[in-house]
Amino acid sequence: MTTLRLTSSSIPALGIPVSVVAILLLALFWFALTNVFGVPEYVFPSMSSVAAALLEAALSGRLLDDTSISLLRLLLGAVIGIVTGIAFGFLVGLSRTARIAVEPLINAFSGIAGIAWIPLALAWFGTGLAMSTFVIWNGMFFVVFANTILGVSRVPPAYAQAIFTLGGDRREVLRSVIFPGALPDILTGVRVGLAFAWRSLIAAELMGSPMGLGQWVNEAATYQRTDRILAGCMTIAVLGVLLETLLVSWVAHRTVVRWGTVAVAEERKAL
Amino acid sequence: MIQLNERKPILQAINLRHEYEARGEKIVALQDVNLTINAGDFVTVVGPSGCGKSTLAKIFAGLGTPTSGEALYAGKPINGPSAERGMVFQELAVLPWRTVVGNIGHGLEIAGVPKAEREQRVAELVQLIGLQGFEKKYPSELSGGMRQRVAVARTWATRPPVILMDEPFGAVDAITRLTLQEELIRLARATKQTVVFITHSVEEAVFLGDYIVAMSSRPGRVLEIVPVPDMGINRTWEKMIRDPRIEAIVSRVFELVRGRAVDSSSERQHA
Amino acid sequence: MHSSSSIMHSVPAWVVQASTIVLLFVVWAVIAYFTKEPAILPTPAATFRAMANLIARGTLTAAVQESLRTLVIGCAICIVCVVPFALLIAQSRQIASVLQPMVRFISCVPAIALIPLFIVWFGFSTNAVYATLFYTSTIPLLFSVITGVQKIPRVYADGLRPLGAGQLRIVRDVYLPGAMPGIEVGIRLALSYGWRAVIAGELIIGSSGLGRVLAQARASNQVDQIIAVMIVIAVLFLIIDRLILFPWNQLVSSRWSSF
Repeated sequence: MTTLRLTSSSIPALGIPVSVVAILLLALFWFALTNVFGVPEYVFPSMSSVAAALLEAALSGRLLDDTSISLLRLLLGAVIGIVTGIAFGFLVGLSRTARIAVEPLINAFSGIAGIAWIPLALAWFGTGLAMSTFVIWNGMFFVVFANTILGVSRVPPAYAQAIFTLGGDRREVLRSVIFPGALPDILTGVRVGLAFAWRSLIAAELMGSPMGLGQWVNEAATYQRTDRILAGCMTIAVLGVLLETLLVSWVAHRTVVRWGTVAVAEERKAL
Repeated sequence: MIQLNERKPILQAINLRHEYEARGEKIVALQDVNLTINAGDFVTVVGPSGCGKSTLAKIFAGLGTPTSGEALYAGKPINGPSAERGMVFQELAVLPWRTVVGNIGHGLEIAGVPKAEREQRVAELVQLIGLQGFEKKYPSELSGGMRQRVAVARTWATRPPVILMDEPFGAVDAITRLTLQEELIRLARATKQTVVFITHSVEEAVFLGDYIVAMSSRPGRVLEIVPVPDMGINRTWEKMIRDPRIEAIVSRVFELVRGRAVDSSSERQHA
Repeated sequence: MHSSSSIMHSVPAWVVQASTIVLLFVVWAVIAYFTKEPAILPTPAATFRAMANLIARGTLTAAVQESLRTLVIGCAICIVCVVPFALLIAQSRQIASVLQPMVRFISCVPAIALIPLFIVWFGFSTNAVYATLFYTSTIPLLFSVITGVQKIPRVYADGLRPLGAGQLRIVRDVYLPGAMPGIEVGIRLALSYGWRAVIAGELIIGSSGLGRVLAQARASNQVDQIIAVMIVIAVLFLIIDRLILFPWNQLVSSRWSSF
């Protein structure tokens, strides 16, 4: 139990970022697992075979096709989800009674979560674009909706009152106080919602959408090709992170971070 | 009381009463408040916490409705906030997502003042409050005192007939507060601005006001209106603390506000 | 100053909330009644008949038991393994600062995408569902506990040391009680994310539980059964969340409210 020392505040003075150390360690573990301890390929493929599977998919054009189909599906559902989530969030968030009234709805629907809707979506819409759009919208909407309500209700009342005494009307307050004031929470909603929607989409593709990254992984599983499964998983992970940085962090750094209304965005990823 | 060119009543409170419920208990914030404030007056309202002085300011601003009685602006009943009665809030109600010039120019923007004229007037104000070089900064990048200057300038920019200030310097340190008070006095004298200044600090009230409205707490009533002799150019802290007349007024006001504060065991506060 | 905008001030919140639920069912009933397409949207009555049917056949009760058993056993194992590990890790800032980004990188891979791998490993069995659950619940639990420990002000431990307290006593008297809010948040997240992971795993793997019933109803296109199972899933989630975790949260946060 030598690790039971009091926490010391110094971070390893290696001069390299901790995240690089972390990636190197992960790679080392992986290498040790497959190449030193001899875990068989079909259980956990080695780095080289995953890289080969990725390369093969990239060269055949399959990777690009599946990725672009998944991203297009996501984009369509996400845009509708964000717009409707924010719009309804504003309508409800501005009234205390409405806020109380929708609370059980939000709780109930967050319990069902995106993935449990997929069977119903399949029954309603088949396996086409309407199905994936519905599933993604559904993964996105309630999170954005709930967070917009929270954000609207958390804007300090003095901000709005000050604008009223400057002669501003309700529209002015909505535009210059409520929306920017709620933006940190809206962005949190979009960030979490994107993660939800991305997972729901992969699940929908796994369960029968033609094409897409989820379907690619699904096909790999039927042939027991763990190297392709892992290659697919890593592509899905990288795209998920890129989406978050590109869309949400980009907006956040130009708005809420610059204004100082949010210190560090931290939230956990679900499923 | 200083003599001004016109002595027209601009704000009037007639038998104001305001009560609210907190934790199932009825609290009378204001009772039998009668007050007339003339155009050009710099009035300070002082009293212990919970004496309803903030409530009075909000009623004058149109942000609250009295339970009974009437609040008049220029002889007409006040219903709702308007640009004619600007207000500076105790909470730093400058908008975090607008820069210094964005905040100061906000009222002019709402009033539809053309861009060129707006920029010029904002630049003058920035100069006046000594924030040159900080024009493009966001409030989170400013010190508390600077932010408070922005809040005052924002309200001043539109030159409303009345400015209500609700403990605007409560959150800044004691030394910055002295500077801000002297700046405010100079600004108000130079522009013959009508100001209603709410504070819990007796010294601040005596230093700033042409006359002082001393209030009691629970229920909030006007105890006495205490005039302050015109110090003219000598209105600086150094001069005022040595003036025996001022000393007598400070003691008198302290007696008034503490008389109630002590026996209701509420906190005793002064700067 | 109070806004008098809300006319419902006198109406208790639960009445408003209950009427929302009632309204939801009324809207559903009206739409179902006028569309007359039971294969797409059955009426609430038909849905509850389907639910009663599933209960009568024993399918639903068995499935609920299976899903809840998976959740409880899986989360219990997860908590027993992860909490002590996280408490240990959190003692060293260096180890925690390297481990956290490592876990964060791994957590970028959604559990859903890993289900095919779990199927290859464990077949279409409940073990694959357990794997999905562990993967999902470990991450929030680990992070919450580590953050919980790191949030404890250092003066608490520093204050005890001059009194002659040894490391073990400091762990017992400072770190364990101080980490309680973090542990509580972690368990709450583990259970609520875990519940969704169990359903998703069962749905895709088709081994057991509510997810399998849902998959079967989908295969035979029984929309009434699909919706019935969805309602059961939502209600169970609310029960887990409200009845078990919420009161506990109140207890912990009121006792440790100085945080």
